[in-house]
Parts: sequence; C-alpha cells; structure tokens
Amino acid sequence: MSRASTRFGRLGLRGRVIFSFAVGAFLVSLILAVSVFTISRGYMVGQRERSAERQAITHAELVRAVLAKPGASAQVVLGALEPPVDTVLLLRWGGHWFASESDVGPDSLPMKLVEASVAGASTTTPMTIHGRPILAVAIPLNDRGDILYELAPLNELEATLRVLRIILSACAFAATIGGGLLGLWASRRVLTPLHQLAHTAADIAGGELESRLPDTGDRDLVTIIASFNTMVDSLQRRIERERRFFGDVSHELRTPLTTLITSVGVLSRHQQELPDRSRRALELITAELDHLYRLLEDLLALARTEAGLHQDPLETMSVGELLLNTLARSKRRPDLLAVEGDCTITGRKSALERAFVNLMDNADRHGGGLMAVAVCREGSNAVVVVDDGGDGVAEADRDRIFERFATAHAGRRSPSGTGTGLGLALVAETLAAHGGNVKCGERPGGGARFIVTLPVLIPN
Amino acid sequence: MAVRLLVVEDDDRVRSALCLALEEEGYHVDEAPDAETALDLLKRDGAPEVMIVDLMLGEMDGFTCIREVRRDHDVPIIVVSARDDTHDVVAALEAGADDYVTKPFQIKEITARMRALRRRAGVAAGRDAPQDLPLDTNPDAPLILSPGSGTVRRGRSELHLTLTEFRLLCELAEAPGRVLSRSALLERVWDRGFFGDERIVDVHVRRLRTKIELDPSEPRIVVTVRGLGYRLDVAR
Repeated sequence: MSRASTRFGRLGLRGRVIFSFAVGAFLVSLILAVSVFTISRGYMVGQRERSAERQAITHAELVRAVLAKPGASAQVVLGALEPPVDTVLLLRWGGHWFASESDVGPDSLPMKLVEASVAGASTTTPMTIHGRPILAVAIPLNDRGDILYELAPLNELEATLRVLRIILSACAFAATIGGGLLGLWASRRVLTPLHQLAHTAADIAGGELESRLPDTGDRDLVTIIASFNTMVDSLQRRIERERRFFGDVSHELRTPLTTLITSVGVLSRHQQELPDRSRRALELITAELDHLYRLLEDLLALARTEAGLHQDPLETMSVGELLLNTLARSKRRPDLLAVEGDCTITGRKSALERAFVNLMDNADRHGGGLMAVAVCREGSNAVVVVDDGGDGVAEADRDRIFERFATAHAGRRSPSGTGTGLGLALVAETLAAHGGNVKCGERPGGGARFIVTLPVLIPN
Repeated sequence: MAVRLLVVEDDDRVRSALCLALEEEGYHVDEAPDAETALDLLKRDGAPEVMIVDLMLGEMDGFTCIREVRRDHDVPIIVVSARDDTHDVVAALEAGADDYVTKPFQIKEITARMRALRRRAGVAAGRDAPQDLPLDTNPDAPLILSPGSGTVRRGRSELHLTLTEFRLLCELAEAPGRVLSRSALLERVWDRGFFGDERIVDVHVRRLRTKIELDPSEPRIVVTVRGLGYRLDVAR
C-alpha cells in the first residue's frame, strides 16, 4: 500500500491530477455504458420475444383452422403461411414432422423445448441452430401433442447489440481520454500560480529583487501571494540595507586609503632623497599600507560574497583561459598551467580570479612556492588542482585553514609578507557561491594540494 | 607642453594627493572641488585632454556633471569611485564616461587608463593610408567613416562621437563582417584584457548605436553576435 502510494506520489502533482481525472471519467463512463447496454438489451430482447410470440400465435391459429378441415395437408399449410424472411416453421402433426426449410428438423430443437411444449405449455427459448442465434417459440396446437415451432432469427438484434456495444466502448474510451485532457487542463490551471511563484522566486534568487507576484484577485491565492510578497519586501529591504552599508563602509574606508596610497606613492618616488631613517619608516608605512589595503579588500569581498552582493555580472568562460589570464595578471609563469579537456563554466570573472590568486598566493607564502596548476574535466565538474612545494598541511588543520584569521588564532599577528588571514576563507566562500567547493589534500610526493571543484555549464 | 588634466573631486585630501601624484608624473593638473566649478573651468579654458571625475560630489553629482560635459565636449572622462555599487559604474558609463577606476588605486592605474584613452584614433584604424569607409550605403543618408580626419558623417552632417566611441567604431571597421569579442575590444580600445569589465564595451556600443544607427533598437551596422561579441556590417 505504502509502496503504491509512493509510486503514485512520484507521478508529480500534475500527473496525479491527470490520472485521477482519467480514472474518474473511466469509472463513470463504464458504469453508464454497462447500464445503458443492459437496459437496452433487456428492452430489445423483450420486444423481439413478444413480436415473435405474436407471430407464432397467429400462425398457430391459422394452422389449427386449416388443418381442422378434412383433407388438408400439413406441408401445404406450412408452405402457404409465408413466414418472414429467415423464420423457419416446424410443425409436428399427428406424430409427423414438417418443416418450411429442408435443413431444419426436430433434431435441431433442444430437448428441453420439446419436453416443455409436449407438456402443453407455449414456451419461448433463445437457442442456436447451425451457429445462428434463434428465438424458438413453441405453441401447442391441441391436446394431441401437435405443436407448431416458430424459429425466428435473432441475428439482426445481435448485430444491433454488437454495434451498441462498440459505440458504448468507444464512448467510454473517449470519455477516459477526455477526462485525462480535462485533468491536464485543470492541473495546468491549478499549477499556473505555483509556476509563477517558482519563476518569481528564481528571478529574485537571480538578483531581480523588484520581482513580485501579481495580485490575481483570486480568493484562494490572496494569502499566499500576500505573504510571499511581504517576505520578498523584507528580503529586499535587508539586502538594500546591507548594500548601502557595504557601500558606505567601502567609501568611508577607501577614501582615506586613497589619499594614503597616493601620497605614499609620491613619497616613494623621492625615496632616494630621504634620510636613511625616514626611508626605513616609509618602507614600513608602505608595507603596512599594502597590508591594510589587502585586508580591507578581502574583508569587503568576503562580506559581499556572504551577503550575495556581486560586483561583476555572470559570464560564460573557459576555466583554462581564466587560469592562464590569472597567472599572467599575477605575473606568474604560464607554463605552470596544464589544461586537459574543455571546461566551460558560468561565473563571475574577477571573483574567481581573486579566489585563484589567493590560492596561488597561499602556495607562495605558506607552501614553499607554487608548483603547478592543472585543470581537467571530471564528469559534470571542472577540477582545478593547485600544488605547492611546502611541507603540506597537517590532516587536523585541513578544514581549519579555511576559517577566517585561522593563523591569528594562535594569538600572534602573522609575520610580515603573509596574507590577510582571509584569503582561503574568501576562496571557500567564492566557490560556494559558484556552486563548487575547495578541499585541501596532499600532493603525491609531499606538499599541499588544493582541489577546486566547479560545476561546468551544461549546454541546453 | 604638458598634458592638461582636470580633476573633479570633492574630498580635499584625496584631490590634493591626486594632484600631487599626477603632477609628479608630469601632467599639468587643474582641480575642481565640485561639478559647478569644473563646468565653469571648462567654459573658461576649454576642454582639457582628460577629465578625472569622482561620482560623489556636492550639489551636482558626478553623473550630471558628466552629462553636462558631454553636451559640448568629447574629452575622455575617467570616473573614480569608492563605492562598491556596480550600478554606479554602469550609470556613469551611460552618462558618457569612458572608463572607471575604483578607489583606492595606485597612481599608475590612472596613468595607464589615460594613456589608453588618449591613443590616436586614426592610428588604430587607417594604419598607413586611412581611406573613407562607407558604413551605410543608404542613398538618402550614407554613413561615411573617415579615420584620417577623425570624423563620421551621416549624409551632410557630421556626427559627434567621443574619442572612445570613434576608436571603437574604427576597431570594428578594421574587419567588417568579422566578429570581435568583448575582451578583444577591451584590449584594443581600453588596454584592458580578460578581466576588464565587459560592460564598458556594452555601454559604449549602446551609446555608439544611438549616434550612428538610423534605428538604434534594431541595429544594422554594429550587430550583436550572441555569446561571441560584436560585428560591423556595412548596411545597404
């Protein structure tokens, strides 16, 4: 039972509605067809029997009257009766049998009929002779055992009933199909608001925050539409607020940083003119400024990625090309990259570039130098492997390194020239936002191996 | 003679630092703390060779300022913005900016952008012997590109393209009928490559169409090739 209901559930809502409508229509039309057939059949058979009996009684009276006259021949009487087409008359008179057709004789009659009629009662029985349906009427002519049998053909009636049966079956079939179609239409109508809901939700998830469900005025849908729209309203307000906040934060922090970086740039041009101690101080400022800048950018990028606020649009690109350009832009050797197979993905270029640069920077800073970057296709995924030549990452730390400020948890600031402590966290967040992930493993022969998985674009 | 720039930035410290750094690089820098001053300067001294405009200004914001400048001048405009909001960037490009840089930047980013935008247009297109190129052979209003003289004429009247729009058109006209990808155009016109913002190209193509196409909603000269880029067809 439960298995059957799961199988039914697997049909989907639309399938279930169509199925129910079809089954309902089939049952109703079946009941209708069966009752129509039974009633019409009873009526038609009854009518045929009555007309055959009337005919037989008329014939019997004629036979009785003619044979009552002396010298009358039973055969002649039968010949003079002119029964309707295909009707055969069989007469038992004075112990002899006479028939209006030569191929029919007393042997053709069922025993039951003969016995009943001999007993003196008129009887009507359906039977078959030579494979043809026949209605046999027996009329006793007198109490000497003389009987007139009238064998009326039923094939016309049978044919009519056969046609009726075909028509009714066709109607039942058509009604079932019609029920299914009605179910299809009804399910479409019922599912339209659901589809609309799904579409709108997808639009909103895709960033079109202005999308709302239109008010259809349908009493049954008012609640769901209203609560959906209210939910989206508050979502939109929250996202707008966050967007504004990130905009303000980045503006407020980036503006002074611009002044600092530009001014320090001017100072650096005159580095050689500065006294030794001032130059060392300037170097410290430059290094710290660079760190602060990267920290701010990583923090903002991480917060934005988490909040789902994107800076660049979705684009279709080849992973190999992306990595080659990333290597070139970060001034690394292009021969570090090995590309195998074609991997096309949809993603945000600069976010992915930042993620891969972070992985490569991580290899250079903590992993004894970037050894190789490889990309290949594995099923429906593009897999990027980033290898370094360091000591590898202890198994216990392989998840922890993706947490933000993982190195800082030790209670000290990371040494100069290292990352912001947010790089790998940003890598993980960026890839998650792209439907992929990143794992840390071990490179055969030592060193760490970062394995990035990204779903490839399936062309539709 | 030093290249003349105009920096429009409302934050005093940023403006001072920027001017300082640009003067260090050998430019002659005029500065304006707001859009009104900038427009007055433009009226008084004529257009500089490049304008650097912040989007957050006082009364009149950067977008309006750019639109006002664009009424009379085809000077390259670089937008600097400290906001993350990407709508701002697109809106600034729509208003008529040629390129953008986000704060904070190294001064060499700004100078690289300026170098790219100031490259001679004719050099990109005509090479040795720039010849007039018919882009639309419509007998009533033929469209003629003259890379040599740096003009585009529709019928008798000359169209006012910005330098960047003109160079974009020249790049496309280099090989009529061939598709140029967005990143190829970014590389050639803006000196930005794979990671450049492709919306810069899209917005410029849009702006170019409103100027050269008879029906910008159904472009026949600069045609979009879905998923690949843009192609220039000679309309008939």
